[in-house]
Amino acid sequence: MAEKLSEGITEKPRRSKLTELFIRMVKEKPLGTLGAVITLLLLLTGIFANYLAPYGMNAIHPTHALEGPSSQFLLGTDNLGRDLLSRIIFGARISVIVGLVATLISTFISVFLGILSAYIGGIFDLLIQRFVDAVLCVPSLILLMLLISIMGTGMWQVIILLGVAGGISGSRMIRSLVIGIKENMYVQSAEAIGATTWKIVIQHILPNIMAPIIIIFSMTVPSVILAEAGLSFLGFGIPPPTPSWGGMLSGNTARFMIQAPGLAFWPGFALALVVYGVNMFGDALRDLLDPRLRGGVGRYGMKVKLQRRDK
Amino acid sequence: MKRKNIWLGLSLLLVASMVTATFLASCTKTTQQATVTQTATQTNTQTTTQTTTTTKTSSTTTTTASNEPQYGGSLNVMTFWGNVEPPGFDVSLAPAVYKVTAWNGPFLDWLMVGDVDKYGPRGNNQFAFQTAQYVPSTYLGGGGVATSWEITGNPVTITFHIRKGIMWAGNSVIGMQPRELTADDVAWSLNRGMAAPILKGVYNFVDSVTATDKYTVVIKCNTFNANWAYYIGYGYVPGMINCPEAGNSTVGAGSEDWKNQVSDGPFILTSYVAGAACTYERNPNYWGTTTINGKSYQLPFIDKLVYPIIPDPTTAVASLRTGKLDWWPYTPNTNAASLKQTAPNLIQTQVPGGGITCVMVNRLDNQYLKSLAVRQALLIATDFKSINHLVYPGGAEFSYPLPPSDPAYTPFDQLPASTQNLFSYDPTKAKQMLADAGYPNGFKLTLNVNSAYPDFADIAQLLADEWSKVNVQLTINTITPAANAAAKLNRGFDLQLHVFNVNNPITSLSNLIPQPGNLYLSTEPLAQNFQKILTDLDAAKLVADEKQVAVDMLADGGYIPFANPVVLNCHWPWMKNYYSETDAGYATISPLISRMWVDQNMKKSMGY
Repeated sequence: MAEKLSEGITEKPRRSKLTELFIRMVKEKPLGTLGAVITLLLLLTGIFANYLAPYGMNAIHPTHALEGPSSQFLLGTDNLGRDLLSRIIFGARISVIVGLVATLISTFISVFLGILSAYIGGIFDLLIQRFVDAVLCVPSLILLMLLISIMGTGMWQVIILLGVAGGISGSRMIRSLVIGIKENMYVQSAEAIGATTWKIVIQHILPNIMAPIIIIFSMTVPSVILAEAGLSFLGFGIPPPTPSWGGMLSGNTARFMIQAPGLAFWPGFALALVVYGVNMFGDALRDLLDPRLRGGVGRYGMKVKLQRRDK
Repeated sequence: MKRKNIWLGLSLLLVASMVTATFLASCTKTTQQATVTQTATQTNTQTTTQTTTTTKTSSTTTTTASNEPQYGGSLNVMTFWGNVEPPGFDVSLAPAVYKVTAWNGPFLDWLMVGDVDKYGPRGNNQFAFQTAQYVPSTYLGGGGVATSWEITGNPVTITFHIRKGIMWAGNSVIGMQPRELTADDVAWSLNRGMAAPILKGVYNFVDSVTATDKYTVVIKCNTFNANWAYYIGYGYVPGMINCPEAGNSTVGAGSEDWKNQVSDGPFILTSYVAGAACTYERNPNYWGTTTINGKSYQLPFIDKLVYPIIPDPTTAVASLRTGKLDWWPYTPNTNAASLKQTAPNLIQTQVPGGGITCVMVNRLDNQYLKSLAVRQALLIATDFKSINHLVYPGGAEFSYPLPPSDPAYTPFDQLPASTQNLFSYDPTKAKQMLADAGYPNGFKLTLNVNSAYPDFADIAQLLADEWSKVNVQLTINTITPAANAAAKLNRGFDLQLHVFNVNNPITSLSNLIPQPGNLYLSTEPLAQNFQKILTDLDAAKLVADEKQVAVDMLADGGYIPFANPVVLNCHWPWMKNYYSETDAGYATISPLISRMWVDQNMKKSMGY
């Protein structure tokens, strides 16, 4: 005999979508919540680095070179006597800027290329996708290194290149989403009544792929941060003396890390923690926002599950 | 939910344990470098004789036991450019010719080479052979293809007498039978080397090279070049005598192919594996001999020599520590303390490094830097002691523009007082000098930094910090090596960090030559004085002139020199008949290796 599921369901007071999302995340995704906290910490550290860091990012203390943690320098110093903690805090700023701005550029390019390519179709789509194929053929790190050698090192060069390269390769995913949506009845109806392409794209297609776009954005941030760290490690990223976590792991760290292991550990730990946190956050967002990825039970089914558990 | 909480808890526990473990490790007091007798200081009191260039840590000894030499065994040696692939095996064609000579050294003899038996520690000890890439011509001879040479003037002619009985080993791959090396081979090799595209213009002073008989080569020059021994005999492409059959081979990859090479040296190249190593085996028909304890021995002693290719320095240090490398003449000095701790039986000797880092000051094009007063103020505003200590913690010596081993070198405390004062840090005085020069509020400059050198970034950062105290705002512009080379050539910089080889005095002073990228005009007194040195046949006068030009060059402030970092010469004690030499010419270690023998019993008893 089937259970009368509908009797147990009570109507809860309406909240804003954001609040509801947040509450669901805390209840259902504790790792995601932790990731969100880490992401928020990263943001705040980057914004308020000037106030949080005990010393300037390049303040040199020659008589305190390669010291271990102490009350004066909480994480120790590097070979020039620069405070590691301060440099890691300022490195967070670089990661925030590069991560967010490059991801914004990447997402914009992905959406722009993906939507147009999928919606217009035909030869336009063919040409765009063959160009994307060509870019995807080249290993991304090699491509980035090559382009950096041409453009020169620097923060904005890294941001633009990571954004453009990521955007081109990410357009494939957006395209596949749009191909599914453009065959829907409401899009065909809009075409039938004579709506322009831009109107259809802005009013009908874009809102329906917003959730995946947010997911793609959140999943791209950690990979951009890692890519920047990798480029800086190889000497193609943010040039010294600007502290970048990846840059701090290369260069003189290899020379001095046996004497001062903290030089290698703390930037690496910060990088690992942030990437882990942002990944978990993105993962949780994906699970919460995309109903197709929740095992098919939907929000109603999830409410039932929770109420059964509470009973 | 419960499962998720368990995973969360486990993740946090794992992260916390990692953090704690590594935090505890990083809390350990960092140890300073091993105590060295040469520290970063400008008061270098090294004398001009070569006997004092060797400094040792407390556990080392450079004299070897006087046991009976043994034949057999093998050596693994990290050569000077062991961190990069051989760029080819044909010195005349390779893009970086000096790197080829390191890999070809075991199987090709140089025309001239340092006489380690006579002048080194195993002889009369006049020269330690620890100066990278330079041997004064006084100490050449006895071990190369040429047995002797004469220089005559009007016109300048250099006559080489070729050693009889040197045999090319032959090579079945290219169909060559063993035969004697003759003057024709030497002339062919010299002409081919001098015509190498990468060396265009270097040999303008040479008119012709001909073999006048089977064992005589005559080089006619239109002018004398004081660096002739380096360019022709032991330091540059032509001096490494190549076999015509190998050079002209068309089998496989031709002259660049390792399989086509022909040996006249102590070893034969038997294998090259890209990314791994070059392997050489003993040449049984090698002409060389050495005398140990009054007895003559045929060279080489060892059966096999391996030059590994190890790009990562930490991997190379690990190989050294574990005995996989027997000898590394240029171990980074930051490893002294850790090697002493983890490999106490490893013998460490400090030797001068190959080059110094300098800031090139564009005194020709920059409006501020044209002024001598400004350049000298910048010298005084630089804390050399602090920079050398922080950037080269293992030790460094002040050796610009001449190395302490050179007869023309002036120790720092014997320089004129006015020159010594330029290297004494005094930001107040520097600020006043800039104000007197018309810049009380300072100015802005850009410093180009080659991204390939990690210590450049450190030096730049320290300079920016120090010069900010005298109101000189330094913008650090990190550029790729290619951009760096182009900027140097075109003088497209205010300031640029660069590495100079100071071990060869003429090469070092050549920074005064007016040529693309250098910072002096032909009409300037310093440049004119140097041009005279370059063509002076009188050796005694040459030393006196070099001495004066070097002092004047220091005071001019066209280059801001930092110290020459010492490097560690590390070898294991089973390497016998070795006296801590590191170079018998230009990154030439095969004469040293051919004289080494391996005490295999000692090696086994030590567990390696």
